[in-house]
Amino acid sequence: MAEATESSSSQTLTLKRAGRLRAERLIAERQRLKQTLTLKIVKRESDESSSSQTAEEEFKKLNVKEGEDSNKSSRKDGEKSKKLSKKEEEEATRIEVRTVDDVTLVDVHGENFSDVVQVDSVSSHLLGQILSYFAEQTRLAGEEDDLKKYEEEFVAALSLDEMKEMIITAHRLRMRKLVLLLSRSIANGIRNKTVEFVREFFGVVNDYTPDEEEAYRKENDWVFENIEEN
Amino acid sequence: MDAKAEKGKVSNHHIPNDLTLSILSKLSLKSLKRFGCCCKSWGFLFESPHFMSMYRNNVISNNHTSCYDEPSVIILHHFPPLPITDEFMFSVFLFSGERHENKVKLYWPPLFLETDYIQMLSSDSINGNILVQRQRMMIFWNPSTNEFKVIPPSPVESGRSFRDPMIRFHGFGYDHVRDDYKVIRRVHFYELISSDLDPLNVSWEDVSWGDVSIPPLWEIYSLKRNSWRKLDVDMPECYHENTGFHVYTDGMCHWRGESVGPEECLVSFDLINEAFIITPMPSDIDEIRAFISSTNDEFDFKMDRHLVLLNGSIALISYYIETTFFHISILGELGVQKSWTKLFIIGPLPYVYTPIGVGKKGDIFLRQEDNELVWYNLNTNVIEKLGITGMNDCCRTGIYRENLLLLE
Repeated sequence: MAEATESSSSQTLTLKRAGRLRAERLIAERQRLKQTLTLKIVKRESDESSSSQTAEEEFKKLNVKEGEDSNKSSRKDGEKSKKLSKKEEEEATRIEVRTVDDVTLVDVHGENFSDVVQVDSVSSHLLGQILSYFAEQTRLAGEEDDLKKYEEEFVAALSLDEMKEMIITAHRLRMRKLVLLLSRSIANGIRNKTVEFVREFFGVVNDYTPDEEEAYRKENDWVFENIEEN
Repeated sequence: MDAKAEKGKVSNHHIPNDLTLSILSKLSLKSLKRFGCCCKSWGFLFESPHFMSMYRNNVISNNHTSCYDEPSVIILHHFPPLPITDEFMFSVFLFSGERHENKVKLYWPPLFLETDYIQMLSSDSINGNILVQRQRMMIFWNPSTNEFKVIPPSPVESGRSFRDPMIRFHGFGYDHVRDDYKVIRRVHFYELISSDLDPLNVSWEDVSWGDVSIPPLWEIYSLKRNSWRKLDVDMPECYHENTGFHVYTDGMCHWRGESVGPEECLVSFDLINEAFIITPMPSDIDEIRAFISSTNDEFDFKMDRHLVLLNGSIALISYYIETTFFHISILGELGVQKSWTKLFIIGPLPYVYTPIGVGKKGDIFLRQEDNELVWYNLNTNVIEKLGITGMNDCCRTGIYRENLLLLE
């Protein structure tokens, strides 16, 4: 099983069989678009590091990434990443997680591909868990009972906030099974919460007038009983 | 943890909208309705065809119980009477497989003959056990181990009452707190008349007043104690033992009860604390009750109801005869009439006569006018034949989950 460890110096982490399968799948997908797939993950500042300068730097990077995010055009992404992916163009097909200059790259290589999937601000801890999940998935493929058990334990160890972060990342990484598992778990985790909690959780703005909200609560009084207090 | 939360605000992470909707579509009716108060667009989710289609899909396919084996469906069906002998034939079949393609005929326990008039009282199995009845004898039966246990008569039955009481089954369930199986029934005694006494060679003067008029009572059987006891509750009763009137889920027995006036209600009896809740039937359905009298050959009704368990949720199938449409409503919360939510409208199904039960993942089993038994897939909207025929109200299907443990 592979794990992403935190370190400021460059290191290579290779996921062997698991990575190759994933790589093959992604490559097949990208083949039509004739683009390489490079997953770029910005390494979040670790707990040990307290430098405000690096925090600022990273903050800038985040803003930059946000800007790129809003533009979903893959061509633009490809341009930006060319500078970085050039180094790895000759390398064999495998997924690499490399931390270079505070930027963690997860690369999948093939022939004549270039693409970047932006996944920003994921803590190495969560990234490690995602990769573990992925590895376990492939390892246990076919053994339904073991897989179910693993999934149950996996989500039981996560808090709602962690699940939220993870699902955003998993969504960008197009990990359908993980997204499905997490969405079920999040649904389960929020089912007894209050309206206020859920608004904040999803970042939803209340556009009801106080009267409208009052009317809604009155009409559906039965749904507001027996729920958790925040 | 704090640092993370702070970072979260800084980077303004939010779950993308399509993912949010996907999460919301996995919630219960109650939760979803509540979160409709978060913002206006969420308040309108029930009117969004795209969202509701996602939601319906989850209602049918959500795995509520972690069952690793594929549950099968059991059907008690009734062959038409054989022309010569004029006997009936009752058989039980186990259907398994994604499309119910594997059919296995089960054999009744040695007590029963196929030509007996056998009733299956419960639709779904409880820990692998089904409750069946022949005449007045009720038995717990585990088809996999072929183990069975005869339920003894209650004191009320064997006592001195000079006539046979009218007994109606109401519920079969499992009390997980006491690890005990329970059966509930209603017992009625008709007014004693002199012609009852004649064959017994008893004269009217020897009968006490208390024996002439006995009030009806509720009885509950406990497997652990292997005895019946009187239940001191006053709840609406059900006048039918056919399929479509009772369900069991989660330690509670539910049935369609007759309340004051012509309207029905859902009675939910909690086996653990022996209390009950009443939920009126949905008010949006035009109540033209179907009543098929056992003594009448003719009937005339416009709408029929069927109480079922749809993938773990209490649901009501309403069948409109003239249009041949089926409406399925799910109950959001016990005791709350307005929480009945119509989720499915299927049809027209012109050849279908009546539902006979629900299988796994929302497969609805139906009987056609030509007595052919079929099943309807709520996902694909396809009807398929099962390859057997059934008659009258003696067909019943439910979910059967095998359990090889001894009934003790």
